[in-house]
Amino acid sequence: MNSQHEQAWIDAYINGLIAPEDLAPLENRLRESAEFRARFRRHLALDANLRQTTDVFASEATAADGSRAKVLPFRKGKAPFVWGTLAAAACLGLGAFLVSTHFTPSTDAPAVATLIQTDNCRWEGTALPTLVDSRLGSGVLSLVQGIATLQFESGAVVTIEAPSRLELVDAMHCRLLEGSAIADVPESAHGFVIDTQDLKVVDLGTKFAVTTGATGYSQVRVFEGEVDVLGLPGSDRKRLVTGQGANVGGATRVPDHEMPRPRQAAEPVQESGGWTGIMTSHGRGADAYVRRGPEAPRGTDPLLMVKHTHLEEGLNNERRAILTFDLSQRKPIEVQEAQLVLDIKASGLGFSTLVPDDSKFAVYGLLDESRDGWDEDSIAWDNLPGSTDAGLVPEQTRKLAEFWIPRGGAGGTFVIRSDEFAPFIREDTNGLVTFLIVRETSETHPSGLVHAFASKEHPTGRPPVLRIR
Amino acid sequence: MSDMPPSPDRSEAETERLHEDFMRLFVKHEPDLRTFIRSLVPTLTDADEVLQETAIVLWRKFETFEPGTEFIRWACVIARFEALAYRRKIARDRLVLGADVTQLLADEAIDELPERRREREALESCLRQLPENQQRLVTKAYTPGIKTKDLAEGLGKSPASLYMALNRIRAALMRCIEKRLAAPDPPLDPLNVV
Repeated sequence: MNSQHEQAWIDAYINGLIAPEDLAPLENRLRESAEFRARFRRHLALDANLRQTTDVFASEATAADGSRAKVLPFRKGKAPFVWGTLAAAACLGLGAFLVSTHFTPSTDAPAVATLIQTDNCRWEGTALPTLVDSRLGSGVLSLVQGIATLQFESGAVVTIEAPSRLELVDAMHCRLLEGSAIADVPESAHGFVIDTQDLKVVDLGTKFAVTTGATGYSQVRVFEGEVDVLGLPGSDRKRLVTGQGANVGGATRVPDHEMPRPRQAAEPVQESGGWTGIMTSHGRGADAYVRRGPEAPRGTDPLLMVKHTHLEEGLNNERRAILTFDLSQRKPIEVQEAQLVLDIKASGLGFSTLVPDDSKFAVYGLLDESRDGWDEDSIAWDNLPGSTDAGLVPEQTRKLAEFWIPRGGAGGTFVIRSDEFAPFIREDTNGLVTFLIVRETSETHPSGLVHAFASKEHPTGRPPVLRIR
Repeated sequence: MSDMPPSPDRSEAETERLHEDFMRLFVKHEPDLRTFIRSLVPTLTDADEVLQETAIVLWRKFETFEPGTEFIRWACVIARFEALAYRRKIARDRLVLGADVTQLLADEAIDELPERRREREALESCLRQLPENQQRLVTKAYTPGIKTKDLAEGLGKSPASLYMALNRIRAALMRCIEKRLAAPDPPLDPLNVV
């Protein structure tokens, strides 16, 4: 018997496939060796822990039998006691895990809201319980992936979409720090307030949405009813009715504590496994996005925004991103494998409920090397390399990868892998490689979500990284 | 099964408070309990069933829990009993480890819970380091209600090749976890660059 043999038993046992003739030898080995028992338990624990931790792409594999949550045969009070933990949604599994590491009992604090629904959620460092039916006191909920719905004690129902951070203030008031929230406010909660760093929205009996980026921009849109908006330039209070919306803010409103910090030397980073990470902030690297129309250059925006629409009202919202990496200190010809790493951020623009469940994106490589030296200060829709108003020019670009971002985000950093990256990089002759990122998925309403990734100017996010080896 | 532990003397408010206390403790310790139970039953689905049964029993007996003592130890005693009862039930028509072996595994498992917690934390980072296709595969395979056979069919693979793939992914994760836990200072996330 050897270690490999033992591992085969463990694997078979975990998969529920242990052969009858292997059972007795496995038992004997377990009886005689404490070390083997410990190893056996470690592997079984991994199996159990995977159930609780693998929620990254769980939305695509939703249990077909509806076993997302089981209702235990007992109830408390008026609400059905939904026991998320038990053979249930991966979302809740991790929620429970986070609770176990961050939960601080707060029996004294009055409940502000109840978490009534979660879909493919992943939470970050939150001090509030994140299990369905949890009663939440005041505090900040940080949703890095998925969609969660809260019912405030006043009756107002607020749905947040990742990436979002929502501060629960009291039963009639919450503050959207980042991301987007949709409020459905019954009569009992008229006067319910959602504010952002730029805006204060006071409900007057409505369904409305608010979205805000961590680095400025806030938007409010009324789906039904009326709201009053405070904080818009040029007016103390503005009433918006069904179908109306308003935007404010911009990069000028970046709060002091989130001002772009001086970046450390952006030298390529040696990583494990032979990878080297090269950021757009390294050397002659650059990143920017462009928006259709005569817009000011966006080369120094903290976000790289991407959007596609076929709707006429929204055509001017079309956005494409461009990334250039400086490989001059490397040998592009020797690159065997490459990945593009993007950090997904809230744009503060548009609502993901108005785009399909999964948004498809494409990464193109720029073939025309003479355009690698584009300038962040003058880049615009009209002069974006490799593209025309109608789209990317096939002779000047090559599609290298496609990727999908599910509704509710994909939880922070996103790694795009493609076998096409390395051959493209090997063709480089000038030490610069340029990628264009476009969204291929359109929207059902012109207020659909604008996707965003951190640029090298982002105060807290990771800049785009090209990993090569 | 009644809605709550039978006690005619208790007011609704008291029951509610008791329930909240219970929820808080259960939710906090559920991941530990799941790994504990998993070490005593043949498959993850079995563990889910025993966990659910255990939750019901814990709530029913919650009044006997002494505040100030360790909830997880109390819960593990009950979970151990439930797992052994479950083992007896399924032993009639399934291959299971002997009761003596199961008890041996249970006795030692309780003291390993802190280690399990560290492994769980490491697992999160390790999952992120997996290639995207493997991340997707393992996530799908571990989604509650997903049967490996159906998943294999959906992917156009044989179940055997899917099991092999999952074995390999778990092996990679285990290596990563062991490496992380062995390092005196946990290595920086390779993506954590400025």
